[in-house]
Amino acid sequence: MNFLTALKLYYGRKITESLRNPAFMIMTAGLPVLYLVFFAPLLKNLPAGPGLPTGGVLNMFMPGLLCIIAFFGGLYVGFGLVDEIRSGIIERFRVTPTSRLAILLGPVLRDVTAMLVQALIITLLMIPFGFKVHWGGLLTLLVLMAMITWISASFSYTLALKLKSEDAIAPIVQGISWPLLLLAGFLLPMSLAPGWLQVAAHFDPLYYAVEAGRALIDGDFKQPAVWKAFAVLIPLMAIVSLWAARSYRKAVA
Amino acid sequence: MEPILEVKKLRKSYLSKGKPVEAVKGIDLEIRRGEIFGFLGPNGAGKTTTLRMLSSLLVPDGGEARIAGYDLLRQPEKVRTRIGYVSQTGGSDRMATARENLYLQARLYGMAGKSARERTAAMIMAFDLDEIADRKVVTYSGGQHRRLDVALGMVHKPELLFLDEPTTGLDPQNRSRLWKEVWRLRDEGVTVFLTTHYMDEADMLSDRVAIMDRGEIVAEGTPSGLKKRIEEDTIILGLEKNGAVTEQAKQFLTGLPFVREAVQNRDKLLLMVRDGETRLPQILRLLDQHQIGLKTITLSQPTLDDVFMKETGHALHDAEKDLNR
Repeated sequence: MNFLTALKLYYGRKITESLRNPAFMIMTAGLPVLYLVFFAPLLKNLPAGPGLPTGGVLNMFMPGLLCIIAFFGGLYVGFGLVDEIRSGIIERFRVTPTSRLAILLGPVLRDVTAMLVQALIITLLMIPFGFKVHWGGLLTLLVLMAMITWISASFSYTLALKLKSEDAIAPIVQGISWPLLLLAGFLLPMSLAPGWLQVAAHFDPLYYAVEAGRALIDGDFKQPAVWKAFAVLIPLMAIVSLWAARSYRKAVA
Repeated sequence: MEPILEVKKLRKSYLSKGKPVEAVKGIDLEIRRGEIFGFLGPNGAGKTTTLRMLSSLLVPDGGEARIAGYDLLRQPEKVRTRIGYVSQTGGSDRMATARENLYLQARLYGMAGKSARERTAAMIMAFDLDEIADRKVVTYSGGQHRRLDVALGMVHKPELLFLDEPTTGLDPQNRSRLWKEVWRLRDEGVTVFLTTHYMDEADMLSDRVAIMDRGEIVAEGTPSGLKKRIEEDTIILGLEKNGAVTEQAKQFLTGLPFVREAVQNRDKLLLMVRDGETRLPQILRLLDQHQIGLKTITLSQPTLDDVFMKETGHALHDAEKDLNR
């Protein structure tokens, strides 16, 4: 069977499953509202200070916020896969004559879709609070975010496939999530950080995405941060995808 | 006719706690078209590992396998379209209905929308799922769940169906219902390869069995053929409570040419006898002549348990205990 047909079937299955799951729908649509209610009011009263950009304060925080959504949108999805492995669903799919890569990418694309829906909701909700959208920049940022979710989801699924236990995945996922987020400077720009911290940040792929996001959100495509983010994320996406594809081909699920 | 499955020197080992464990030690197998083949052995004997290799889920370390005319290692895609596989856990999507599960499965095997819908409807009828077809699988009973699992494995009309421990966890009623289902599939021309650790199930259900223990096939043949290899039947005599009489009975019975062994346990006497059925009247007459009172008498013919015992030197249940240790 051809790859795209199989991908469509596996993607469709996960989308149907998500639409039917009230908890998933509430979390997907509710999370942006939560950010808006609990976070945006704080920014309104933030005075302009050293290190903060001259533009709207929201324009500095939004890229970081979007990167968290993209990163967390993929990072924890492996937990759901453990249950599917246990109930034998993945094994059943793996004996069909469909591409094993499609079995992985169907769910990954669902995760990317859910993340994009969240990103759009949050963007639209932030506009009344003074967020100035540059649509071309936002579109480019969404591409970067889709790559982040693709990477974190593929990583999480493959981890689940290899470890087959929530208890084994949890410490790994927890252990990498916060250091990566903090080093990315998702709340405050890393330019405020001391030298050693700035050096450490350069080993964090998320850092490049957040930096690029701060340029893109104002439509500033000329900043080197933009091409640097793609230069870091494209190879990373290729590496994680290859690792995932290899594992799905060989896995004992 | 070419066998539907032919396996030579298939082997697989994996690491357990840093040490390599040979799960399957170079086995040979041959399955003929249209038969029910029972793969019998204790938990951990290597049955599931073998089944996973044969259904293309696991890459063997060595050996060859031809299934339905294709080389498993070189043409796994061809093999996959011709086999069905039902794992121990089944693998249906519990949050979807039987109809949705079957429809997706049909699509995954390349059927287009209309033919997939028709096939789904046909499977729902054939496996008696019509009343529950539009309910979520999570609400099904064990038996209904299992019928859906087997239906999922049969959607694409495979020539060979693998069933891994199909009756584990089912109550006796659903167990016999599943047996009937398997016989029906055989009557429709499907070859069925199933694993079980129930001796009686392998005996009742299969046309031929292979017994596996510790990664090796220790016996292979028809259930009755295998049992014939165990030459003695067991006769247990329950005598009137009188030590001296029992002793006397034991002495003259041991002297008979067809009694291979006699063991006394209080007022019970256990005899290992060749052709037990025909010797029984003779034994009864002799006891009568010696005026030895008899309370009960039992004749048991060999079971696959005895075959397992003879071939491996240990009982099936001991083998399972070994593994749990």
